[in-house]
Amino acid sequence: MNGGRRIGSVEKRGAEFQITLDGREVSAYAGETIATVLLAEGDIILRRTSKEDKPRSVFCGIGICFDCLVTVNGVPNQRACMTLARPGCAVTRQRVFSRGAGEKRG
Amino acid sequence: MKEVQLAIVGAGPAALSAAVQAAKLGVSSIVLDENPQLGGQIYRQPAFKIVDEEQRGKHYREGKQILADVARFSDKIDVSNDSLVWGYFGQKELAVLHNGRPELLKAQQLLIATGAYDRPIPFPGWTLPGVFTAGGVQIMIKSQRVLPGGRFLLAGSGPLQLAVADQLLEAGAKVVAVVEATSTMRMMRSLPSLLRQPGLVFEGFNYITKFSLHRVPYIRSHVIVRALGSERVEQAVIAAVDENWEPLAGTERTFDADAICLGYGLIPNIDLTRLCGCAHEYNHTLGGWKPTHNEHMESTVPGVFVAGDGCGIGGVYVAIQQGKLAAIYGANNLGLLDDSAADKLAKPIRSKLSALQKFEMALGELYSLENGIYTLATDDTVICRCEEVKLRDIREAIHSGASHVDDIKRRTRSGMGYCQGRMCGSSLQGIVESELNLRPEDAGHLKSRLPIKPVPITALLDLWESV
Repeated sequence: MNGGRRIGSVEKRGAEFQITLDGREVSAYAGETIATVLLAEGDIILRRTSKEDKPRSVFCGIGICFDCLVTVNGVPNQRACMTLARPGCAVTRQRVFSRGAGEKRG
Repeated sequence: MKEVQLAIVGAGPAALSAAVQAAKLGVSSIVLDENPQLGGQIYRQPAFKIVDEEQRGKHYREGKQILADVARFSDKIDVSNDSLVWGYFGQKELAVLHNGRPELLKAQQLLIATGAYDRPIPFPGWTLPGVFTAGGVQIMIKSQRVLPGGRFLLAGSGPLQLAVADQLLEAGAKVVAVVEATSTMRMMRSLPSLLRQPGLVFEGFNYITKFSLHRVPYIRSHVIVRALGSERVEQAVIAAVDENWEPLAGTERTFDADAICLGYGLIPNIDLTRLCGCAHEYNHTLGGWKPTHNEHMESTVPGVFVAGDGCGIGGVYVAIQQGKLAAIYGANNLGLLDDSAADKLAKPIRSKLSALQKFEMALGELYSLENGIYTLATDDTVICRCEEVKLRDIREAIHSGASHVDDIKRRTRSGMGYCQGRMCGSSLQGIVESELNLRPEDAGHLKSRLPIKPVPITALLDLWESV
């Protein structure tokens, strides 16, 4: 289900560039946070929790709750809502694909 | 170590008006803020050029004006974005992570204007993707121009959710309902005191009229009781509440929604004032725990000032005036302004402030949180989102003798995760109060520990080497 989307036409945004999201290339626009790119893609599940394997997304949106943690260029636990997307940056969601895999508590 | 006359933490209305006022009095300041842009939450400017500027609302325009003032005094105001203040070591020494690099800063005077955040209210399903805070959704719409869902249900208490619903409608989203916990009766009782600011009351009625045009139900005396969905929000269940905000059996209604927006008022962000050792007091109407301050806006630690929502929720106009007062008495402490000159300058500001505060107090009382809201969580509801501590664990801790939120933290790990208790602290307090019938002062507040937000250990090593 894709609920999220950008408001208005993308021509009114900053310069377009590509970032990767779990290895897949997606468009981002200068000034957007990583959370925005993910929400606009409709990928609202940003990680799974370590104890109970529950899905989480952006919650507070202002850098307080630390629920939207993602890995950016290999550095884990970055807040997607506070981190600007930059050309070429590689974003990986944490534990989203690892249900039952060895990485689970990593 | 870098030294500065006045360090200001935060970059919202209180911080920026203080910086400008200080500059006018000849004080050099540094504005330290974690965000990549100035403005705090309310003045958050769009991340890109917006063509229809006139449509952006008065806070946007006022924010633009104050940002222009800051730019005008660029010789006096050093703006440091991407600067997370994570530690305080006494003597007004701050540990800062600036663009990922550690810095130490020594200030002669310090102003903490760290604002507020949405009060988290736990209920079954509140950790599902698609549940957002009202403040967060507002930033997504006005600054990032992104809609995190298609069908929104808003639930909470207070005027912010009216504004958010309006912005969602403007952005083309479907709003399935706006759910307000406060009863119509309570609203009517407060109306006379709210009419001190007829403009704002009018704004409220305007929103409600607009909702009826868009066929958005505005449902009073109700709260959200559950969010349903397997991997993300699919439905929201609401119920009528009594005067204590406890849900009434047999009144549930279900809405299809893929996004839920929660706005139960704001709580002051007091991590840093706690860390500085400032005395705090509990004021339910002003958002809960807040640093104690005198009429100079100086906390109980000499030279440490507070202003804005971080010292009690008062809104943007109160914040602006408080910021000015803090700057005046900071300059006074620095010897740039004698006592009588400072008092003279402060007098008109103080009278403006007191008029504004009367309205804000009435608003705060009208939408004041009732403790029944903490009965929504069930044993299986997560209270501490970071450590996944459930109400069951917290109740067990209470039954085995914990009677203070810090006790619960030690026994359950609630509040020990990444967010450092910002998400669960107020709930723990509400739960302890209800379970043990305590006053908030006795239930207490989680201790603030440095680093107040996570800092990479490599940054600490770099700092170690540089000292």
